[in-house]
Amino acid sequence: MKNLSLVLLLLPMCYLAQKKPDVVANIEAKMAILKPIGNNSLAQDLKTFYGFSLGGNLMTPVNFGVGADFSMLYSNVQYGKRNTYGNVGSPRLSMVNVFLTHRENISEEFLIEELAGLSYTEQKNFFVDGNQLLKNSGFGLLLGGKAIYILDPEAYQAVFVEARFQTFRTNIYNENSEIQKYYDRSYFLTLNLGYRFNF
Amino acid sequence: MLVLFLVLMSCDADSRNNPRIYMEGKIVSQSIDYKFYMLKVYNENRVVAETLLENGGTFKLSGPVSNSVTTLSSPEKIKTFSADKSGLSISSDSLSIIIPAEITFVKFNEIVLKK
Repeated sequence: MKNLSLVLLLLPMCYLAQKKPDVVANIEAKMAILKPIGNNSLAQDLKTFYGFSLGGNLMTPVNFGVGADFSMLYSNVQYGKRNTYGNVGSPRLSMVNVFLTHRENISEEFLIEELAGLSYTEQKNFFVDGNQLLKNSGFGLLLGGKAIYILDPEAYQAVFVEARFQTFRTNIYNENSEIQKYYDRSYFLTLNLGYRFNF
Repeated sequence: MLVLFLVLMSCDADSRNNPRIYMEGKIVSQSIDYKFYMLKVYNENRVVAETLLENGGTFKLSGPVSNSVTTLSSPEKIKTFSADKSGLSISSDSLSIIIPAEITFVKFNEIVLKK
């Protein structure tokens, strides 16, 4: 908590006080694999999600930064689980994440970044008889880490591997609390492979 | 950001925006083949869940519903049923069980078919 308030104090100071462009920005494109875990519908009734993600970060000279990204992920219902998932089309997750990052320079071309933040997830399915959309959305927490390898001497380009853990809680209602728990929450493990461009 | 976070976390705690029905039970019949017997759950003229019966005639069904009446539809006529909730009824053509909107969880002890 102390660290967080320190970050909150430092971030605006870094942006406002320093006119020199010591704040660096980057954009990223990622391939994503997402596996829901636990005893819940997303984990038990669905296959692994695959998709892509686009994002960006701002990094200050004190190695704290902010970032955001947007992901689209696609999956299918497991064979034999259609009765408990419901008669709806293949699920899609749209996700917006915002987070604080901290960077550690290991060597000239190798860095580690940790991140913590918030995620907003929408789980969407089309009903099979038409084009009406079923939408469940909710907020969650996000924790992650990135291992970044810089490709060129000017440090413009980099590739990275990223692992994330996040929670998802939505607003599905059932009068039986066990059933509601099964359908209204999940936990996601994500593996991202990405390319980063610094400028 | 911390305040924003707390607001966001608290706002979806007790919403009933997306009700989902869950039912399980057992079909009892003298003559039907359970493997080819399909039960369907209707809500607002839409099939929200369907399944073939497991061995012994048991089934589990769940699907997204709106705040309106749900029906469990059977290909053969239903003679009687018993469930853990009251308020359910057999439709006039005997081909389905009508479940009121406020019920989202039902356990059928048995559903006895005429055939």
